[in-house]
Amino acid sequence: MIPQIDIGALGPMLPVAVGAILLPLAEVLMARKRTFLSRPFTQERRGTFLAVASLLCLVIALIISVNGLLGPSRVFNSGNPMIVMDGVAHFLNIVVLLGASLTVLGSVKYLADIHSNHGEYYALLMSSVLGMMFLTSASNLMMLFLALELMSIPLYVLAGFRRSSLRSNESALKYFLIGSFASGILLYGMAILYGMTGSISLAEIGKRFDPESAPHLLGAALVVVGLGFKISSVPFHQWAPDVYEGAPTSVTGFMATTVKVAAFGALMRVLAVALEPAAELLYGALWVMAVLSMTLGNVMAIIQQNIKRMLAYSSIAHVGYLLVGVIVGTLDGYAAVLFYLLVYTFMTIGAFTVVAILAKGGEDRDRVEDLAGLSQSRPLMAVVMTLCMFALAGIPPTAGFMGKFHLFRAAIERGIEIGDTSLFWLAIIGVLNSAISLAYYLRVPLVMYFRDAPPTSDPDVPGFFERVVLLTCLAAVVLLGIVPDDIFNVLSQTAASAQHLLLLQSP
Amino acid sequence: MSEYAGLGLFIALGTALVLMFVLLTTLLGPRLRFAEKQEPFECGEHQVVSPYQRFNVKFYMVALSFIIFDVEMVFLYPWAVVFRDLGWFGFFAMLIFLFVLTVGLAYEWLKGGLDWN
Amino acid sequence: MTEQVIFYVSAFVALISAAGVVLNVRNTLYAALCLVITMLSLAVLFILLNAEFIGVLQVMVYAGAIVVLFLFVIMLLNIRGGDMGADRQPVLKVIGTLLIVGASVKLVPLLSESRRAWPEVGPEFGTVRAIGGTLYTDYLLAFEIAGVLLLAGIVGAVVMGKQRID
Repeated sequence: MIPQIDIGALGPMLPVAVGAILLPLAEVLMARKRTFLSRPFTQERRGTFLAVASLLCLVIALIISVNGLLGPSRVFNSGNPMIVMDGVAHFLNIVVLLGASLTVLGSVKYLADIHSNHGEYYALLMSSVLGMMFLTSASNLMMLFLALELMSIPLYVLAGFRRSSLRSNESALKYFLIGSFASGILLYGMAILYGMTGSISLAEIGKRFDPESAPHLLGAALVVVGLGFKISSVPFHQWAPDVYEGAPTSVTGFMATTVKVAAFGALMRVLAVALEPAAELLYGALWVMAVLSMTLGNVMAIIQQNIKRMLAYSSIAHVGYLLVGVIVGTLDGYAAVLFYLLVYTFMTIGAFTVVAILAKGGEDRDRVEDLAGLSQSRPLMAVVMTLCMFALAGIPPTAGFMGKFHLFRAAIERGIEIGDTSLFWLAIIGVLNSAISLAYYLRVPLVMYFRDAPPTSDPDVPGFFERVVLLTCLAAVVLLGIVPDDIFNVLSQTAASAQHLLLLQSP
Repeated sequence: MSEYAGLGLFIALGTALVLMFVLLTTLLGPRLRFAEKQEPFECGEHQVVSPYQRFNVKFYMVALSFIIFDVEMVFLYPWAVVFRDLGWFGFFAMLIFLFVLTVGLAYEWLKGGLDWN
Repeated sequence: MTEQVIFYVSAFVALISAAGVVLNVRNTLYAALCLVITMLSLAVLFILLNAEFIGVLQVMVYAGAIVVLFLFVIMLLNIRGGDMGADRQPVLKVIGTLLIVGASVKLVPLLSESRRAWPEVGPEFGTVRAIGGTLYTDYLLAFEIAGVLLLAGIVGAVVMGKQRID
């Protein structure tokens, strides 16, 4: 009756879980008049302490994940594997943990600037990260859903973390309503899949799935729609601009990157393992989603005046690019998605951190004009922002270019291999869209370098933590653009080993 | 299913009893109408404010805490039933779960989430 | 026979009260009370399916606690009939209703025809003991994560609901 469990499989999750559980307690104990150190902490010192504590948990988890990446794949409970810690899970966890660490570093000063420096921020962030880590490794539907909720529920609160700001409240409410609606759709799809196949294990569903049967396909479609909401692909994207604009900037950066990393992990696993028999039918739908996401995201981004809104539409466009890799469905395609998720995390968090630093006196400064003259007043921030914009647009030699190159190359190679012109079209539409995206990405450097700052402008100075974030993003965006081939080969092997294991693994 | 026969009988008897009382009062009770009796409030008191009042958000906090610990209690039921079979393994499984939620309770308590003012 | 009668009665009540939840746009309090009836009828359906523990939970957690929370929220917002804007976008309402009705007409026979045969279940199935036997062993990880989820819920509730946090 008592199962054989391997707690070591949870290695990367344990430090994050400890953080998620103990940080609320730490926050409230430090806020007491008399603490166990018999000296009350100011709100600012408390915030810094909790940020450092959560960073410590994240870094330990990061080290364990990097170790795990090279080691063999493990399951928590061999009798009923709820999670599979394979190469893909470890790699995506690394990306999530990197994104979360950068977010924590970038939040310390920003939270004080917007007068919302509450320690609960870090506790909720850690819970969300824990959910993401389980989401990337979930190998059955129950775990998938629980992890998705554990990821989303803290995020609903984080989106409304500026409690006095109406825009933030609106953002939280919209995110919550749409998110629960999406969860409902996903759950209905899961229920149908379970009812039809009689199993909640992804591998088992993959074996019993009947692509001829309409209810099977209905379940598959509902699951894809539910996940489509979470990655905010068109036509399930309407919530994203409002939510991204209203949420605190550091949270927006977190939502735009790590959530997508985790949700793409789940989407790849579901598509490659459980819904593999329905691949042809679903990939038609995904093709449309990818093209719409790329095109609509880029076109709508051009007319935005608010940077956060612009980056929201840009993130929708990037979901379209990422879907190309998922549609290709080869090991190279998956490896390209993994690589692009890593690159995308750095360039997006870099851009959001610059916007976050500009916030001052309880107000966000997130219009494009607010960046005017930044090259003179804050050259480092201007350089980072420029490089992030170049990378997002896919200009060589930045990391963004290599990421897109691998995605579109995978599509074209697969297209030649199976003689499918729709994959060529996908790559062509992707390249055309990258050209369109120049229109709004290049506007930001233009404003920073060629427009004079208004005389009243006095952009905030980045603190120590922010400098670390800016320099890390700068280094990553440049280095990943120069030496990606080795990394990419490792990723291909990772995807290969993971797929091999997943297909063989059944409870 | 047969173990629910008692429940069915209970429901049927309960419904019958209530219907009977209503029926009996309509048949036997005197019917007098005057202005005070038509007032919506009891005891002939005049209604001062609308019964639709805005509730304080504190009630919501209490209700939400109740749900969370209600769910915790629900998890304890099956555990108590199989406790002997699971032994120490089950004991520690529940210990971790309870620890996590006790942290939540301690947090809410120390934060003043349970205080009315 | 008796089971079928109970099934049809509670399914009918569930459908009617669920319609009541949706149609009572003017008075959300009535909608919430209709939801209680829906939950209770669902509990009966669960018990008919031998899922006794789930049926009990349905009464305890949903009808008992969650709808009470709904009532608090309704009273907290103090929404009166006219505030709801229910009459906006009549075209979308009509299209939405038609789509739902059309989908249901297609779906119901589809799902009922192609469902798998009921698996044979033992007398233990659905009892508290059977659930306990799997929940704390095979689904241990899910159980512990549910704990963290509840903790995140507490923290989130305090952040969102408390008037002053410092």
